Amino acid sequence: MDDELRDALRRVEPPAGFAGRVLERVRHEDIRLKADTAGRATGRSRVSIQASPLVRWAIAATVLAAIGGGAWYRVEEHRREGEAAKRQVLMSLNIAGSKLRSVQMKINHEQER
Amino acid sequence: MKQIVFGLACALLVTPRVFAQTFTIPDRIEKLEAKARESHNITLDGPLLQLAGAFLNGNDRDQKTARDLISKVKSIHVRNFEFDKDGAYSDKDLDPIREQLKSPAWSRIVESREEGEHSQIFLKTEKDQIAGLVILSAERRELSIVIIDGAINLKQLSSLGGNFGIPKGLPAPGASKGKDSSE
Repeated sequence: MDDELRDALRRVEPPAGFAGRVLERVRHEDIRLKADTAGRATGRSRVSIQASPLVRWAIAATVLAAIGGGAWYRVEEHRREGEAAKRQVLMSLNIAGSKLRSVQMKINHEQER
Repeated sequence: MKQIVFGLACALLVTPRVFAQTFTIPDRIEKLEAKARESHNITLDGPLLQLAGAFLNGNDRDQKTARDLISKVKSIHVRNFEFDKDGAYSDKDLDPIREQLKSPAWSRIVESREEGEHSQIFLKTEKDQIAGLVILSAERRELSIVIIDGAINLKQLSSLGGNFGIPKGLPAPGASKGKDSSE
């Protein structure tokens, strides 16, 4: 029993270059963690940090186009509604005015007779 | 709880008055659109009138007059139907509207009956000022109902009857064929 335990817990030398590989891996992990922390702090993802200027310009242009398009649509919609309301006002006043005159003419006609 | 009961009581007291100020156009009249050769169905309330006022051109004399006319108007309702033949409607179809005009605020200022045609003009007055106008014009082949709620200048309105500033695509009543209905 003692022999078996002694054999199992016997000191074994690591393979050659083991310490170097461990240190290298720790260094890589440290760099990755720092990049993640910086990305979260600025609100950007790692993808946006790594994106090329062309992609960033394309995203900005798309956002601007969407905002501009929405604003233009609202203005155009307002203009259309206003023009329609104006036409309806003119039409209704036209009908009201012509009927008013028509009744006045009838009354005048009746009085003349 | 007491507040809720008080609120409900106030609502019940106020509702009939509010309702009494609003004209109801009978369904029978609204359904005439299906029979009409041409119809105009216009309903303009406060926000729409304000919007229209902003788009009326102050440099154009007629549009400026129209803008002045609607400046104190709360709502406009117009129903105008033209038919191909006589008897598409009955003068009695207008009775529900006449009933609504029996309140003391309204007075009939003009009535004309001539060869099957019946026209009436009603005015609402508040503090010696015109506060509303209703025109009911029942002709053989044309029925017009105009309800204007608010202060209106009759002289100005009468002077506008005609072609004033109406775009070419918008004919005066009885001037063209087709059906135009707008809400």
